[in-house]
Amino acid sequence: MDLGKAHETAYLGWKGASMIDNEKNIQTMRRIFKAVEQRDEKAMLELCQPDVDFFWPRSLPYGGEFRGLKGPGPSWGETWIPLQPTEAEQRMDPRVVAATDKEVVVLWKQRGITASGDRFEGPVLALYALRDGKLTRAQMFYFDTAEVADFLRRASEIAVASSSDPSVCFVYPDSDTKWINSNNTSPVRDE
Amino acid sequence: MSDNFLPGMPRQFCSDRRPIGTAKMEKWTFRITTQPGILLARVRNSTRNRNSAGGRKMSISGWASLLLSVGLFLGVAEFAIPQNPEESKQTDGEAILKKELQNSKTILAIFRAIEERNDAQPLQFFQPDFEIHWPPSLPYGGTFTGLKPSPNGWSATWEPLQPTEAERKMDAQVVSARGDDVVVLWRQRGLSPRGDRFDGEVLSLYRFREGKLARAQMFYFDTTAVATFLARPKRP
Repeated sequence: MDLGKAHETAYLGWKGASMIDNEKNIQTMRRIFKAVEQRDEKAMLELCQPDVDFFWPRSLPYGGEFRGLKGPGPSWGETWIPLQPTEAEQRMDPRVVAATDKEVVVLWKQRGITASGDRFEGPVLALYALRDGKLTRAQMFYFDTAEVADFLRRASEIAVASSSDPSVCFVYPDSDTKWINSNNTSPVRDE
Repeated sequence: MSDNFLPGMPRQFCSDRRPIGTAKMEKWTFRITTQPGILLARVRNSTRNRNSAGGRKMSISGWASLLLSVGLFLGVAEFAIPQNPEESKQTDGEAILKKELQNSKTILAIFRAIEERNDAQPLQFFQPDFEIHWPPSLPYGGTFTGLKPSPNGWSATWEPLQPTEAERKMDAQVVSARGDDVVVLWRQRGLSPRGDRFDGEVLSLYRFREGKLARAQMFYFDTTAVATFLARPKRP
């Protein structure tokens, strides 16, 4: 496949011109990861478009496609924050692997620990689209959603077993397992 | 997959273009080509150009010259790349961009070879110690080194489920390239003997070394959905 000199020139010119936007987008994504790690909701709101779309794998408790920072069911935060008691689990180690003037790809780590001490750590390659310097679309590709789902199922069972109020839980997607909502903030999700 | 595909680039850049002239003004030379409605400022030397962005503004006569040049080309002077002639040497930045472009072309050639079941051609694109990472929960999951096909590998698993071109099509798009890394969004498709279809997104991260593919890691959007499809009965 030979794109030819003309294509190469066009590509180099375009890439050079878009570098400033690329850098802006990279900075926005770094601030977003910092906001998530530091649980800074205000910063998150400032860095996302109001109509931001999130795409999570459907096999996870917070899976599906949602518009806005709060979806209809349990959110990523409601699921993972109880499993991230210390900075070690909250750390995401984001690494920008690619960027254009419209999209940024970040490789980050999803970490968690159950009440019984089981740890999870897995890579996520996420594709982010930005508009006017703010996040407008996010799609998360976990390396192995089956492993994530297994870990969350185990964590849920441990949480249910140790909970004094087992009614505060919601249905785990594609299974009969109940997932404890330790923040007690979301209604039961009926898939 | 188009031969004209350029990674991450808007589609209007993906056609052939040839310079039809140049326009000089002050310290800049503008190259005029025949693409519509685009004015690009090419950064040849990042430090110098960062300074120039704030300090080296074109005068009124400069702008008039540009408009005149445009007129001379009867309104077809549509794509201009400002170049500082003193900075004509290839910079490190440009070398990196060229490498990114070459890596992107290589990865698309590999995808095409996979779609066309061309087993021989792609070997030249791989490092001998090429490493591939598949999600552990899949039948072909794990980390493998080398190019020897496995009896339970991706090809052995998916080829029986891809009887026609429709399933073999991967629609690979280079999202972007950065240094030695290239990210590709592609589709995994399959058709079971019972007629069940699978069509899911995969975001792959590739690392090159000396122009050859050294590492690949596949991130299916939902491995559970893939595993469920693959676990279905093999016979109708």
